[in-house]
Amino acid sequence: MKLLHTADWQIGRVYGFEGEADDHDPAAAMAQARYDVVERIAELARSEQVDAVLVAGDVFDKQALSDHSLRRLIHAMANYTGRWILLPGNHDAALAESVWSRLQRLAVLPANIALALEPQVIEFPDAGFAILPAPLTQRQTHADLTEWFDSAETTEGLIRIGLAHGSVAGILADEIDSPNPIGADRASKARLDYLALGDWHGTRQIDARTWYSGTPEQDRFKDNDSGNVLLVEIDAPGALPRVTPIRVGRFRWRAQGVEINGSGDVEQLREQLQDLSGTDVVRLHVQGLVDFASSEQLRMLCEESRARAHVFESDLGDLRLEPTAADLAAMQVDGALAEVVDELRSMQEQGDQAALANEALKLLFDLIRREGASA
Amino acid sequence: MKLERLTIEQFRKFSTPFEIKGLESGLNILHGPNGAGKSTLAQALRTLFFEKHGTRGEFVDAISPRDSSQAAPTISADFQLGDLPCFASKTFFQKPRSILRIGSESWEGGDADEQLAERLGFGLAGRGASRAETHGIPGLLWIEQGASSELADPVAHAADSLAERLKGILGDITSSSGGRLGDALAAELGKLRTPTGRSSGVLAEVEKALAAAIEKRKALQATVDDYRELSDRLARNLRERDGLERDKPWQGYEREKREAEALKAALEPRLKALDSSRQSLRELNARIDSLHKEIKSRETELRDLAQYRAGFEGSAESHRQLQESLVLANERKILTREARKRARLAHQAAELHQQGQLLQADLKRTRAEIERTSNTLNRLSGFSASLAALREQAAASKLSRQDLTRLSKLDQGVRENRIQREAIATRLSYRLETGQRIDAGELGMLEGEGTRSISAPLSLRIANVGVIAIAPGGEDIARLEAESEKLGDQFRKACATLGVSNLADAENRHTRHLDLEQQIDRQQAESQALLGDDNEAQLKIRLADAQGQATDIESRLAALPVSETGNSLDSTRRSHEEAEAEATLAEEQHDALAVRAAQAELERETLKTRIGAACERLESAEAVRAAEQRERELKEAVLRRDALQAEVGQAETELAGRNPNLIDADIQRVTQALLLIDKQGRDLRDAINSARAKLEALGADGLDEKLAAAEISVEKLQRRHDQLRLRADALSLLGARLESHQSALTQRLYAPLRERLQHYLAILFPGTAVNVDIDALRPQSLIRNDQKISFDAESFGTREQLGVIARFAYADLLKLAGQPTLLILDDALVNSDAERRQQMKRILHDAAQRHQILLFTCHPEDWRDAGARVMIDVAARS
Repeated sequence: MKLLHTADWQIGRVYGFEGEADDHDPAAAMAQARYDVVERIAELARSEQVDAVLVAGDVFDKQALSDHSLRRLIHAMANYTGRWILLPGNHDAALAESVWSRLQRLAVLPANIALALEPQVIEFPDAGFAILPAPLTQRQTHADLTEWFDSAETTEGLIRIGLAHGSVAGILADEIDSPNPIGADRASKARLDYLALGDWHGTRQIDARTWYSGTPEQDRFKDNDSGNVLLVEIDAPGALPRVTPIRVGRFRWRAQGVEINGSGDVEQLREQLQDLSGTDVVRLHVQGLVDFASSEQLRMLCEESRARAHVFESDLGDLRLEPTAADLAAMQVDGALAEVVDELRSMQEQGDQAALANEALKLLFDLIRREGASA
Repeated sequence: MKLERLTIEQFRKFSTPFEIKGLESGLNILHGPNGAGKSTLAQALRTLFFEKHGTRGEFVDAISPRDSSQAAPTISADFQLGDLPCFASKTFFQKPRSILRIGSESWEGGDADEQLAERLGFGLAGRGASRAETHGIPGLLWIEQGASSELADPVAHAADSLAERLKGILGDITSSSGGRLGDALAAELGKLRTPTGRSSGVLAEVEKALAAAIEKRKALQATVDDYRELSDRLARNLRERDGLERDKPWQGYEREKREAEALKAALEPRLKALDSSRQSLRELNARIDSLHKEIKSRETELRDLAQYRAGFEGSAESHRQLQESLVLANERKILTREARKRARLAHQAAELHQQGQLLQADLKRTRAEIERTSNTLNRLSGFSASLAALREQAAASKLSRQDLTRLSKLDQGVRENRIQREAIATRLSYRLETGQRIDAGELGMLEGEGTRSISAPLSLRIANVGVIAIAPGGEDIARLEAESEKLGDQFRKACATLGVSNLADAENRHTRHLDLEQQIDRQQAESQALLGDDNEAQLKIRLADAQGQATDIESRLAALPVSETGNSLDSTRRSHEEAEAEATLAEEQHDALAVRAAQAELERETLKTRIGAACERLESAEAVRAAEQRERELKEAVLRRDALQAEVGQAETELAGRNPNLIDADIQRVTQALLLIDKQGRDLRDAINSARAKLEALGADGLDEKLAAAEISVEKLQRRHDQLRLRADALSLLGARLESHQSALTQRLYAPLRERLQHYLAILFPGTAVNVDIDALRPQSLIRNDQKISFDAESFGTREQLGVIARFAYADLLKLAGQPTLLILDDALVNSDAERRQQMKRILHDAAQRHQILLFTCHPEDWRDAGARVMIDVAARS
């Protein structure tokens, strides 16, 4: 059998990126991208002729989404008419009243989309597999909801596939998104052929039968190999699964910190940013010391990058402007002005005053270059 | 710079050439009275230096002589710059010309104008006459009349030139002034903050938007919290409902209820039977009670009847006795009545007898009174007659005392008159022969012997002899005679009136009248005594009354029957009264007995009626039968009751173990529990439905998306706000630091200027340390005795002195920088008092060691000891 394992669609997530102009809204495009990637998954499922698509939780980013958002998602899934099995995660837990109950009320769910809202075995004898879902019915739980897998009986001859959302105990402890723990040896203890997990946004293998698919469309500055779905092939009950990550994501998120001390470093950064394209979401944190020339160079680079990337955020707050003596002479900074510059420079060394002093210096030099140093 | 000679031609008041020469280094005093042309000289100097030779327009009128419009004002000056001899000359309007020679160099026209400006440090106006703004350093050092206290504007106008020329000494003051940079900073800050530090412009907008966004987020968060709370509650309700449906607690209650109801149904008929028996028992007991009462009532009535009969029989004897007593009482009543009648008659007779006696006595008394009254009346009538006679006499003899007195006076008058007349009358004494007679006229016939007084002429006729006429002497005779006559007449008239013949007669009458009146009084008193308090009429009435009374008594006496009795009135009355009492008593006794007899009769009648009725009711055959019937019924009823009682007791004992009340309570209790469970189910269903409806409404709204959008909006605004605030803080910091550094630096740069200023101030304010605060090349305030005083706040006189001192300080620095200095004081320091002027003279003298100073004044005596080398009387030259 063959299936697609995905998770953490986080439908309804919104972003706070600023546009360069009023008609430019990078955040809207990124919200849209989450629907687009579902379309691509449907397309992939169709072309790969998989037996099912498993979504291991956090299908939705929030509970109270608009009806419009729900309908858009169902619409995005329309291209694959095979089985979809959706599991509630911590963001979209199957609470008494939840996004799932609303979805059911809206009556837009086609028969091929199954909601795994109860911890009960769902068998698909014709396809030869059984699903053991561990839906979250609370936002957070400190109990291992997959425990029941161990004792769950399935019809002889069916491939046992676990579906859960949470953090595998002991492995992702420091990086968990929710406390919902999952036993590290669940796959073997519950005699699962495959355990499809969600919650961790990067693609990650836990053991031979246990995988996090990661989110198919990256949604944060964390370079952990997200943007993939997993194509899982299992030949027979007990056989080891063949798992192939397939990239479906559009945006690549990069948070980068660089130290710039002179024009050489700026040039090096330029090379690094050479391949930026419209699918890149970049946050650049720059620190170091620059003279006027390098500063100008860096500014130009940032402008260029901003034009090329989908999002390009540059944080220059920790970059200190250090005009050279020549810079200062060229600006005719002497007398009282020179003293002010000296004072601000010494303030740059004092932690709590540094940002203010840096800003003041930048403003001063901007002003001097615009107005001239004297009358 | 040293000015040596100044020539003026066709300039204002000097239409003819005028020259000042022999000016020396140091102090030169040019003096003259007002209007002598001192200011014109100063103006000429300014015109020569400041004005371009080609200048026209209004300037023409300003410098032309008044009487000539076609003048060509010309000003020339010899002076030294450094060691070089110089000459400058300008002619205006008519063939304008400008010449400048410095040492061996010379310029003409515009070049000359420019070269002068360049050398002395001022500017040239673009068009038209020069303005204060272009006057530069000379504009500062050449103080116009009355302008020495003005410093700010002249310094500002000279600032560029001063800064340029003093660069070597003060450094680059302008580069440290901040100028445009400071302004630009302030402008940038002004976009974000007001001068008082409040946010404005875009920062204020962002702050406002941020606050609004936070508020919006808060509201949304609250709604989301409500949503979560509601969904949690829904989950709880659902769990509770599921628990109910799983446990089905109502089933147990329903079973319990069914069992209780079955038990109750089984008991029902027996309970009904028991109830019915109890009812029969109650009815039977009531019947027995009623029968007992009826039997008892009959017994009582029979007892009463026996008593009635006994009573009736017992009353027969007393009835008879009562009748007998009544007869006796009646007899006695009649007897006493007769006795009473007799006694009354005897009493009446005694009364009549006594009445007759009383009447006799009355008659006697009345008659006596009649007699007494008649006597009195008779005596009164006697008095009355004699009084009338007396009164008549008295009236006839009435002569009052007044009349008598008047008459007496008249008589006396007559007598006095006679005496007077006789006193003066002629005495006629005669003795006639007997028989002889003389007719004396009025005196009658005189015979015998006699004396007569003659008061009136008298003729004596002697018969046969003739007549002798005698005329008494004196005129009084006649008057007295007349008076005598008058008095006599009056007397006679009075006598006639009074009815008397003479005075004696009158006196007699008067005496008699008095006597009569006394008699009258006496009689009246007597009659009054007789009458007492009464008067005659009353007496008469009383007499008539008494007479009537007597008649009445007489008739009554006549009417009285003759009553002869020996019994006294008192004894008869007592007898009568006793008989009366006895009769009354007998009557009362009789009446009382009669009443008793009637009552006893009535009672007997009543008893008889009762006995009849009771006999009918109790002793009839029917009544006796009924009584027997009741007795039988009672016996039967008691038997039946005892049986029923036993029956009920047994049933109660049997049912006591199965309390139907408890069964009812159980049914009620279980029913209540079922109701509660039902209600709980319904409430849960309602709560679940309601929560679902609310949640659906809220959820469909895309609440979480809105909240996320609101949070992003807050973040964005927060970032923007932080940036702007950092920018504002940085601008603020820059402004403050720049100002602080500039001011510190500037103060350092101003040190030489400060030194010069303090040099002069030490002379002006000897003995006190003075510190000067300088800004924009200008002393702003001075600190003296630890007190900061702004230049502007000083008195006019002091400002004037400080203004002059400041110019000396600039001049000192300029001199040090190798620049030309010429100081002109036009009527400066006129507001300084003598003491300050003294200090200023020292300062002048001190400054004059380094500079040429031209001092224009109209009080040369004030400045003679200022160390001037030259004093020029302008008036003497003109």
